[in-house]
Amino acid sequence: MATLEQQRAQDAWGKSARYTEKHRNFAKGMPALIMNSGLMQVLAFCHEKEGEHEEIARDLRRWINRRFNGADNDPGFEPFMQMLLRSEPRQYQMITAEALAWLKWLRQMASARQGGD
Amino acid sequence: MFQKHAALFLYAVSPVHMGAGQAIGVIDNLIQRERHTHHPCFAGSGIKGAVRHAWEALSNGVPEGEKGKLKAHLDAIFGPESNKELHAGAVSFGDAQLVLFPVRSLRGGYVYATCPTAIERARRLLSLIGVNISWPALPDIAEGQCLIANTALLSDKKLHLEAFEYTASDGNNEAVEKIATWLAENALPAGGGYDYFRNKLKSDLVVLSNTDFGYFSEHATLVEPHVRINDATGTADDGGLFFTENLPPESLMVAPLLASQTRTGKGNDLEAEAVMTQVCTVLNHAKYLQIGGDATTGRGLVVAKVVEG
Repeated sequence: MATLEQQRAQDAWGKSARYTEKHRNFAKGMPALIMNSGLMQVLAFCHEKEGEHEEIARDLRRWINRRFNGADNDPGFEPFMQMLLRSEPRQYQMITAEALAWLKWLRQMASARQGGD
Repeated sequence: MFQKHAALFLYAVSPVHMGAGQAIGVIDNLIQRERHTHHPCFAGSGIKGAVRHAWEALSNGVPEGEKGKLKAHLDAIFGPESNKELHAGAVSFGDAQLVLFPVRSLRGGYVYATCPTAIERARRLLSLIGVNISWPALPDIAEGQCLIANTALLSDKKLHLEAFEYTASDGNNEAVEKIATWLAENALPAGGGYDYFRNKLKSDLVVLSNTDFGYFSEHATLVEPHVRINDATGTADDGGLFFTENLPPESLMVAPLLASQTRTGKGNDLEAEAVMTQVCTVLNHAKYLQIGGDATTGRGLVVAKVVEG
């Protein structure tokens, strides 16, 4: 059984395989954006921006869904936001912390697979 | 062996970037953290360097002929530079641990947050170095709960910190009030400039559970994007983006400060008491210490307050 860190790394490795430079650049800044603005704000921002932003947000939603609900699919923007809106503060904190833990891997993997500058 | 003991409180008045070097994390330039609590910390070596630098800066006016003597004196106190004749310094700065961390609050702007682990570690450090404190024991705090001294922070009986809500436990405010008052009067510098913060700390200290406090001390630091500006175009260069983490202003840390007699092997050594007195004089006369990196963009200004054991 892989550790949680290995699972995050594995997931980030797989998802970043198809990432372009634009994905990589946004993935690099996404944790700071979440720390400064909050997870829901960032997900809403990604949805509005579409393109690479929303693709990374989709990958993130899918990972969170897998971690907390055991289902390996993207619940979609609206249901996911509804879930966050209704979640207990403690749950929201745990999800935010998990998002950052996964993004830590994603930003490294995306750079490594793309070739860093 | 160290004969004199004191606690050195460090209050951040600007963002502090005490860098962790080549760490790989959620952002690029992380600050130093303790391994076991993951609370932000300052390495003792960094504090020692900052104090030595403050001493040198204060001694700027010494006549040219006296400079050698000053250098020898600083070497005796702090230890010589590595290429010199070897002997140990007479003063030791331990690592600074986190006591209070500022968190944005719906009411009152921000609060000084802490947790039982941070308070008990500060209590243990103070008692180890012989500072007499009488902080009441803190009651248990469950996740989602908080202890407060000031009910004006609440809206609908809830405390709102950033996006999160905490229920204030009733009837346990006395311990918080006493700890807040002690810290306000002893850990913050004397002088009128700090009156506002002393009063705010007395009323706006909030004790969270270790878990809830851990969330803020890890995810509510100051994160800044930096870019490289292209001289020719005046716009940001591609690929020059990086993120730097800082300990936010209004954070409070505490470190042990120990002194022994000087040991230069040349005789005429200073007693531990004199060493401690001189270090305290420097700390009291320096307006602030500059700790960590990015000094030229105003980072790392902390004010020191020594509490002797």
